[in-house]
Amino acid sequence: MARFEALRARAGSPIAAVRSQRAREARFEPFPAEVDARLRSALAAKGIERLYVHQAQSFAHITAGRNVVVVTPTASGKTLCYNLPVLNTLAATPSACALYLFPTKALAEDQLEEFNQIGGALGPDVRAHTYDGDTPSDARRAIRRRANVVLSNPDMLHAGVLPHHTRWARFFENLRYIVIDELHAYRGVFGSHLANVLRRLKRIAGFYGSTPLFVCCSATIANPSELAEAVTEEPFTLVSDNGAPSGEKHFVFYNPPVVNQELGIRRSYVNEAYRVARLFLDRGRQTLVFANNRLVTEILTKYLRERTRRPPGQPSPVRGYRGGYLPLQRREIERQLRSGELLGVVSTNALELGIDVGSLDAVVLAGYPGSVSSTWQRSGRAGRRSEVSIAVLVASSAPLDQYVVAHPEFFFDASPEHAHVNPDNLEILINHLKCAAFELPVAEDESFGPHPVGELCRFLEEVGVVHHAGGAWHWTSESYPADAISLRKISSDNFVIVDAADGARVIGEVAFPAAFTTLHEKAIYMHDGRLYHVERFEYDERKAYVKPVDCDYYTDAIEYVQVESLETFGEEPLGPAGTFHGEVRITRRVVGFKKIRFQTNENVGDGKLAMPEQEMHTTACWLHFPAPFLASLRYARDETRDGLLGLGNVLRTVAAVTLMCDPRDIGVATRSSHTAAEDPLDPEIFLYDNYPGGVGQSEPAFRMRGCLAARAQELLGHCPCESGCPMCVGAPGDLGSMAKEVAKALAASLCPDPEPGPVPRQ
Amino acid sequence: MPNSSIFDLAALKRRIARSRQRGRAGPGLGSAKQPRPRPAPGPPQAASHIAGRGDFVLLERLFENSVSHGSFVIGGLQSIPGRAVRPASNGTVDTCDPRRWVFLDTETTGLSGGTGTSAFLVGTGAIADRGFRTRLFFMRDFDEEGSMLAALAEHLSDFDTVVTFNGKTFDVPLLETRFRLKRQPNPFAAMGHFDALHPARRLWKRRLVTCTLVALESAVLGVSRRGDVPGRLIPQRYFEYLRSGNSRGLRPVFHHNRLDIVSLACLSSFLLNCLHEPQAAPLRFGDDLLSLARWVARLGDEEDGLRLYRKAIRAGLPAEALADALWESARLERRLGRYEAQVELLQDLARISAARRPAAWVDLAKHHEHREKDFETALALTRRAIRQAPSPDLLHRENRLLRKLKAAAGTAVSGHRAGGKA
Repeated sequence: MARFEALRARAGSPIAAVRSQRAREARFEPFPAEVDARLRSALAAKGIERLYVHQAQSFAHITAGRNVVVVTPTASGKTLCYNLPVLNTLAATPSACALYLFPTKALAEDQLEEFNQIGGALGPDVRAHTYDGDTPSDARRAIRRRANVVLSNPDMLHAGVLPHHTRWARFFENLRYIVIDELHAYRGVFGSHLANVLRRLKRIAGFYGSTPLFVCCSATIANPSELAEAVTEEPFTLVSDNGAPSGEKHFVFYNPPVVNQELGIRRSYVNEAYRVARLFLDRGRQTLVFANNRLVTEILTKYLRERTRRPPGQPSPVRGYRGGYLPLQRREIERQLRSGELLGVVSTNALELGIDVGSLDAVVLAGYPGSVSSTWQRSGRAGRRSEVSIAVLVASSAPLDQYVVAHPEFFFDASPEHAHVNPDNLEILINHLKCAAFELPVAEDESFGPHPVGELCRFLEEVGVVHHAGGAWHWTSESYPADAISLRKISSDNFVIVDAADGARVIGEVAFPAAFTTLHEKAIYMHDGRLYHVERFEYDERKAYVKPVDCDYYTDAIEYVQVESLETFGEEPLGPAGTFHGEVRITRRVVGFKKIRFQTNENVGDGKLAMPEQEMHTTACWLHFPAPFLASLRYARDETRDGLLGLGNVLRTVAAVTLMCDPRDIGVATRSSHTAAEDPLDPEIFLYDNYPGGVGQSEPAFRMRGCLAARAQELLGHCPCESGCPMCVGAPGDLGSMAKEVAKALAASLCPDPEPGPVPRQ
Repeated sequence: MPNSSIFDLAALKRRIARSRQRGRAGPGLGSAKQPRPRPAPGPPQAASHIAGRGDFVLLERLFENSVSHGSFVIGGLQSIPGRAVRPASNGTVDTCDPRRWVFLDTETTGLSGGTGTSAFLVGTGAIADRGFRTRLFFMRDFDEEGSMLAALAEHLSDFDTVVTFNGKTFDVPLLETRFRLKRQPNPFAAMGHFDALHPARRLWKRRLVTCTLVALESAVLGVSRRGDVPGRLIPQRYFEYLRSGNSRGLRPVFHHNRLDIVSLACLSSFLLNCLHEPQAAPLRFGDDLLSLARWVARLGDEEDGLRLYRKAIRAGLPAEALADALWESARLERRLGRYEAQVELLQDLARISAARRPAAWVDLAKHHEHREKDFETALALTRRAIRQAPSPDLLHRENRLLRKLKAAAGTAVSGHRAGGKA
């Protein structure tokens, strides 16, 4: 720690901020009297003699029949918050059933073990099983007949359980609890899908006469109750009073030094992350390194394995960990981390979720994980209860990273981010309504989301998939609708990537909209740490043929985006400008691409493309600058246009930060309605939900317009570059030299108050 | 995205907005359109509505004993050997009175399974004194499903066993789901189930590429269907009927279902007769006879099995099957202690099949070594086998035979010497 403090004191120090947390004592409550004696002694055998405050509170609420959402940090004993009430119910009623949902299969495996450690005390009547794509078919039959607790994932529930609910009749008749762990993972499209899967689940449970209670657990987000309520459509009681102890902890923001002031180029964050990790590893400190993609994970693993000190003849104490590794291999790595056999692990977000690897001395984040919640979640992996631990965020040169290190108070002090879902996205909803009709006829008086079910079903009847009879709509199609809907993204139409050099092997797939920008001809596609050159893009076949290459650049597609506003839901002034919220049509066409060198990010070439046009309806928040105001600024026409583009890029960065979403979830486009070249500019800047129908990001963006403007102004004011850089308005090559100045002026006009306001509470 | 959905969502949105406005002024949104009048499908005289239980359509027909179905006469069903159902079902069915069997086949709204697939037509067939009576339970719309299922369950209670073709995988689980969805008791829970698909496959899969009911009835019963509708088009026919109310397109579907049930009964009868009296089985093809021979031998009747093997060989078999038949029947002959017959079969095998020759030689060598004590012949056969397919086992056998020959020669020589001395 002292090293960092000393470093920070130096001029031009890469240490941008240091925050420390003091150690916290545990706060306990005695075991509730209702807890079964067998469970109590099983817990005692694990060294649990009392409950933390949040565990006791959860137990009390759940036992009283309230839906509970638990929000406490990593490794605070969240699992017991739901396992204890569920097991206590099973102790009294051995026929009762519970469904646990986890976002990944690995988590379900992990939690099964934990459940059985205590559940074993109730004898062979309590049967918990995972049920997912890997479950063999004879085991599936046994699980449907006998399991009390089924640990699964939303995808399996959607495509494997609900459409066959009659086989699960016993389970649904006795269903008492639905546990949704890692609730924060269900935001955006995935969360919107889950909410609809739960609508279907509740219908089916209702058919079998049960009304299960919901227990959700979430990492720290601003609106856990709101998210739980949006996803389940039930009222919730929040439990957030964390009683778990924690040791002293330090959080360091590290910004690699600038090597080219003019272009705003910094030293490679990957190399810097490697150096920071070695600081810890070489001193024998157990360290977890998080990278944001597979490529960086592999590079860091390679560096650290080769160079970390180790006793002669011993295997390297560092390993990699990511989704592509085999399950057994991953279990082994988790075990070795817990036992201390491994000193270091480099991981993607695969280790971010609640997999039990014990607590470590240090966490190094190679690049900002994209959201405050993920950052806390990952850094929470460091946290010895009795010793000092440390987390270091090494910022990359991406605008979001630079914003965060430049605004440590945003990360540490401001209210945490909000997670948004839009279960009523019409495209998502109507697809799940099809599944619902397949599962049980939809009665006229039923509700499924906020839209009148009659209108939707009549629409489906016209398409020919349902038929009205006896006061209900019945499924009349030969298809199995759940197969056509993937919960992880909105469109089920994927492009497969075929390695033409390797016997036409399929190496992966890319969702529809992303395929246009990542798989166009001559694109460099990165997969599993390797680079591939796209030889052929077959739109009709939904295939891209690639060949492995060795090159020092990647490609960035140039897209023309046209926006047309269709309907306005809301309108408010902001300074001289007007802000709007409504529905838009986005027409996109990839017209070319740039070749960009790794590390330095310099533009080393480009190409033209003719790709098919794509159209999408979505929601957007937009800003309109009236022509007279722009004229009053007295910039040249081109300068103004560049400034508007630059401001759009800045707004997108701060919107991603503020709305807690992946920057790719938000699109930005500008439009000017002028017709002739001599007409005055009358432009609009659109921030749109980058999914058909929208997933609920533009409405909060509209609501927080003041905050977005203030943060945009602040980002522009604090960016150290001279006239624009990729961390603020965009690369200097793309925009003219006045872009930053004009963007600043525009942003300032939107903010009469120079101080950025706090994020308004929702 | 144009591709991502078959729907015009923008149009839907406009409609929702419009209906919201209407909703504020006019009647409730969920209100359905007026039910259209339902025409009763099929010949009206055959339709009967069962009173008091809600409507559905029941179509009955008697196939008289004198009627032919391909080469099969319906009257043959009167003498189904019921006891053969035990071996035919691998011992899973033990209810041997064919008059208490109900033959069943469904026509459904899809093949994908899951709760969204309904059986809109359930056909049954039962053996009556005068012939074979089929009953088609048909729902004219989804609101008749409950009454149709209730009537079906009541009908099924007259029987103790259901006979299907692939019903274990498809029809019965599907109907069980329908009963569950209508909250009605499951009539199959108390019944035995003979699925004729598995025994049929066992008997005919050597000869027929696909063992679908249609393929079997044509190949086994000599039925050629006329005016039929292919199974895969049936869901669409029903959906068209639901939309248009015109039942004309359904008539071939009823016909199809009835044919399926009659064929199922005839095929079951044929199968059970084959197992009951294998020697009288009217099988002409060597492949079918070979399948039956194996089955009968597996059931423990080796003499009967052997006789069928011989028939199969006489009837003519493709080269590989012939080799199999010779090999397997040689084994059976040996087990029955008829070594001469075994040797003959092995010699035949060695003659006709280059691939199986070494194995035949090895078995012949064993015979000569252990039973004939003719070590020289055994050695010659073993060496032939080694030349074609050497193996440690054979080399071991060769050494042993050499030792035995030496020992035998030693005895002979020493005897000679002793004689000489004497």
